[in-house]
Amino acid sequence: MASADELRTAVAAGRTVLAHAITMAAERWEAPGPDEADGPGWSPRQAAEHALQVELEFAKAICAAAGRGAPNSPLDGALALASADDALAALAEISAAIDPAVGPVRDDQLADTAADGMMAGMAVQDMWAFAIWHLAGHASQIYGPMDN
Amino acid sequence: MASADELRANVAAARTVLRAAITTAADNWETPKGAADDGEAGWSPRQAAEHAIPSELMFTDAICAACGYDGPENPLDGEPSFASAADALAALDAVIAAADSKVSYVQDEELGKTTAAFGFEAVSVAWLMEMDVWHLADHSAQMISPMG
Repeated sequence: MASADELRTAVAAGRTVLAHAITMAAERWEAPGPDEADGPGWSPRQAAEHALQVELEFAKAICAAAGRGAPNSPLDGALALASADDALAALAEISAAIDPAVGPVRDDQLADTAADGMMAGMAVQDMWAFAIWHLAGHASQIYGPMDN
Repeated sequence: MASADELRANVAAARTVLRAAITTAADNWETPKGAADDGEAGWSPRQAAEHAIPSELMFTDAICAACGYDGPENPLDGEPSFASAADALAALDAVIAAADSKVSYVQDEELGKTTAAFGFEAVSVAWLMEMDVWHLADHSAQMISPMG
């Protein structure tokens, strides 16, 4: 099992990859992604707006499960990221809000579970793994198909 | 365009995510994420690791071909077979050491060099490094996807 420090490191690495994917997608920011079963795939903008919002939700759930105060949200309502630069700025703000809140979570709190909400019953370690998956998956999506 | 140092940092971050994904997937190492006819999308974490880790050497080989370097030593002995997550992590460490021993020398002015080796079609060193990041993120997400 990964330690709390290892999970924090992996989340930070996931954000680095997401940030780079956002940078790479700047010139096709609002272009739909490849078609999916239920219609056009998300644009980089849509994926970034979703991924960043959910970062905060994971952090809130982790803090609640570990008995810590929730991070202060730097977001004013729904995210509207008109450009890749806006998304990078928002990612930095969100990371700055989350990291002090989840930084003190200890190894012996990784099995603590969320009492309610979307992640009710999930352990802190599982929510962190979920967050890493979410960052990597949407980073991959924002990159788009890497055909040469 | 990202510099060689920035691209190396992104590859390193994506490898950190892969490491966390392997660790997280240890208890479900051979559990497929889908049906056999799902193809790659249905792979178990083991299958994804047996693909993603050797691919690091393939990307490095292509980068070396473009830059006119000798390829990296291959630390893997024959067909990759990682019976456990611990085996995969050890292989990842060995592959990273082999890859970095070459890619650490890539200069900014070499990022536009291209290769048609290994099935690529005149793809640049910068693009190879971008593809590597995407590939790592994609398979990391696959390994820890809660959807499987």
